[in-house]
Amino acid sequence: MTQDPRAMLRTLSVFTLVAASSLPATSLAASPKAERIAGYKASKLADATIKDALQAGNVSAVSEPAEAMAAFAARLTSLYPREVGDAFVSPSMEAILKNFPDFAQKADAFAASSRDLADRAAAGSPDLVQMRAALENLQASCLACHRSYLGR
Amino acid sequence: MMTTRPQRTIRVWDIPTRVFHWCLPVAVIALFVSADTYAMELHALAGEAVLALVLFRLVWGTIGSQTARFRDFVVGPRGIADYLAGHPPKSLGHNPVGAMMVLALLGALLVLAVSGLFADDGIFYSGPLAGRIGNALAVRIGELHATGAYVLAALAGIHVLATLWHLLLRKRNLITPMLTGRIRTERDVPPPAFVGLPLACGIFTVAAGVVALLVHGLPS
Ligand code: HEC
Ligand code: HEM
Repeated sequence: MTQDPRAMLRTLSVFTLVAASSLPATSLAASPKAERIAGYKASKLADATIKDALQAGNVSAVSEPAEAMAAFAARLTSLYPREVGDAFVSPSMEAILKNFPDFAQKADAFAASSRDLADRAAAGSPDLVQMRAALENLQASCLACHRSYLGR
Repeated sequence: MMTTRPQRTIRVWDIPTRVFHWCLPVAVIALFVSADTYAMELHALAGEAVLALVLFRLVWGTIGSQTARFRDFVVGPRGIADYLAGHPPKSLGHNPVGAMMVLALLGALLVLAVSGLFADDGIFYSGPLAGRIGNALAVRIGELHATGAYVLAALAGIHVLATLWHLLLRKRNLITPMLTGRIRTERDVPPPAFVGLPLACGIFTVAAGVVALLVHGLPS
């Protein structure tokens, strides 16, 4: 076996391409799935931002992330179109479709708690203690749905 | 023209380097499986073990056995070019291209293990040091950690494919020596120098202690 440096480089670059293409295909297409993943990720960051703001006693920084989360939560169920069976895309999809009323109820709890937090943030004299309680409600709504449909 | 010199068996890898090496695939598989099944206590434990292993390896790479030392096998662009042009590498251990992969893998493991300590998944679990920094920052570090894990997986995949390529296409078995410590070679070079096992055990103990302190703080 002779060692041909160019063949070696060629093989290496093929390896690299194969490895790169096996990275999780981030579906950039504006599908409902891509949209809800983006929404969940943004909510995760919004939740952390609000937690930071409340820890620092900075009530004015709560409004914007809370509004964004409430807007996402309000249309969450519409991002699970039941006619498009993308069960193979998301392992939890089957359970969601089977128990859609329950799933929708949990989405409603998310919508209500994020709306509540956004409203409190926008109120004339926001109450820090009540806002902390509202944030806990909101986080409980994330947990409840994930426990049921993601097993975690 | 072919000159066949007699082959001899020499020892190239010491026990610490071999044990370190094989602990990694075990730990990394455990890390991916635990992250996937959300067994986060196990995940944190395996990740902290990896951190201790990598710290050990960085020290062993400076004061350990010859073939484990970075100075022995990291050769820079010229050395890599020479190797690719067909010159035999200076080290009996890693070849110059493999050396780059060693650095990349160690770097990726270090970044992942440290970022994991500060990571927050936003809902269920956060690393033991996430409380020391802002929540939003910890969430962003968690995202970096998750993305970085795929970079590590890609690097590890290339690493495995490269050894298979050496094995199948170049008829060079690099895998068995990492188990037995020995290679057969026709090259007339002095055998590498080795440093004793007790020192390695001492270094690993200190590395594990540093990680434990970092994660749990001083016992009060
Ligand atoms: C009504 C159910 C429900 C609620 C409420 C909910 N989630 Fe989720 N979440 C899901 C499901 C289902 C997925 C799996 C992805 C999918 O939809 O295909 C998911 C996925 C995620 C992901 C992973 C996205 C990725 O990277 O793939 C994050 C992060 C997340 N949720 C955060 C949150 C946070 C933070 C909250 C609360 C503020 C929340 N979720 C509330 C159902 C919910
Ligand atoms: C080399 C070591 C490590 C590797 C290879 C690794 C790998 C992974 C992987 C594959 C994930 C899942 C990412 C995803 O969601 O797709 C993950 C998530 C996570 N890991 Fe690690 N990990 C390591 C070390 C650690 C350590 C030491 C800790 C903390 C003690 C830790 C804490 C976390 C946390 C909190 C998450 C969730 C982050 C998020 O999803 O935002 N990890 N890790």
